[in-house]
Amino acid sequence: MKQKTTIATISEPPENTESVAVISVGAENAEFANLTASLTEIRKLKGVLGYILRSNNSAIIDLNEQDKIIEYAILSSQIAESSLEIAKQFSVTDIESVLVEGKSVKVLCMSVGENRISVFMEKTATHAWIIKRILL
Amino acid sequence: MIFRNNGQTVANTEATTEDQTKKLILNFGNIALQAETIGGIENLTIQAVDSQLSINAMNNLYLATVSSRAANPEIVKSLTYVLVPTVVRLIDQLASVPSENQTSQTVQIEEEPAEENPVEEPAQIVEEKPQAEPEPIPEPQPQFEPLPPKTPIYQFMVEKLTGMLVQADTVRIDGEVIAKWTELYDGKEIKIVNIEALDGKKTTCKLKAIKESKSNAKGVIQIPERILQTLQTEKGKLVMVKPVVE
Repeated sequence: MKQKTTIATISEPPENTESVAVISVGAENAEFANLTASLTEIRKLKGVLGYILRSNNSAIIDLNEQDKIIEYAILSSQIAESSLEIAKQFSVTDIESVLVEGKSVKVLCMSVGENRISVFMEKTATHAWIIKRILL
Repeated sequence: MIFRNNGQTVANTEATTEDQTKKLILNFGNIALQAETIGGIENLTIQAVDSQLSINAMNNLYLATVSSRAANPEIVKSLTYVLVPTVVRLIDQLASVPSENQTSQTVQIEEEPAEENPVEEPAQIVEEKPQAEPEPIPEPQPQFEPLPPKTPIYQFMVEKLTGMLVQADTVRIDGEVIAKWTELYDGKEIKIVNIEALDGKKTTCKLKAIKESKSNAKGVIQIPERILQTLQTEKGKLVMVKPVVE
């Protein structure tokens, strides 16, 4: 069941389609809206399992597996936080992207301004194109 | 830099400081914990404008490299995915060979007294075998005692041990690790460990195996409140644990 849950300023009625969870929270800004559009496009790519977009006051979670929403949200937050620390230790500055590959799934994390993006995809999916698309 | 999945450093470049090593392992460990949901980490790449940092899994080891993005990606790939893992595997294989060499060396030393006779009567040997070269006098060789096994240091994530029957002076870790230590020290039972927090606070305490299922015990040390206070550490932090052989 596609579930679009809206809290605060965004309000869309729930739709009954395939098993996808979309949760949107907060007020958007122009950059956030642009990224949402890009991610909606990326979401349609083969092998992309979903994404999390987060800014200081807004968030969108769009993932295939609803039962993993919390785990994926914690993971993406941990990647963003810990990778910054690791990069700082080795003077790796101006981070473009962080890619974490698991056994079956890989996560691409990026920061654009105040917005944090995590794209979850199958290992066979091409992440390089996604990086280019987001940095456009 | 190469480190084990329990946080132990195997090798690093001279330029890498201890603080860098600790922080890298700590932060990587934090990600790895959450990455269980995607089947653990096989590869982590932080890509910046000019440089990139990669951490690649090699069985139970992780290889961390920092490279310039100007570097030939094919060469970097060959180094991190082929060359270094192969060398590490070779070293692992060679690590088992010295013990065999040591045994044969001991055998040679034991055989030496039998060769002393020809040295005592060189004239007779020359008469009987004129073409044979005189055997060199064996130099006395020092008897080397085998070195004691290097004390392994493991890194564990702290869990608070609570309950009515908890012994305040005893920590608990995975039974498999205790068994490995016992095996390493020729069956000596390990009852005491030294624990060191990342900020250098140390303590010595008793040791027991975790009672829970094996999967929950991996990489975790259960510490009672009093020892947590001594180490000034808390749940989720990493500590280094060294067995004490009595």
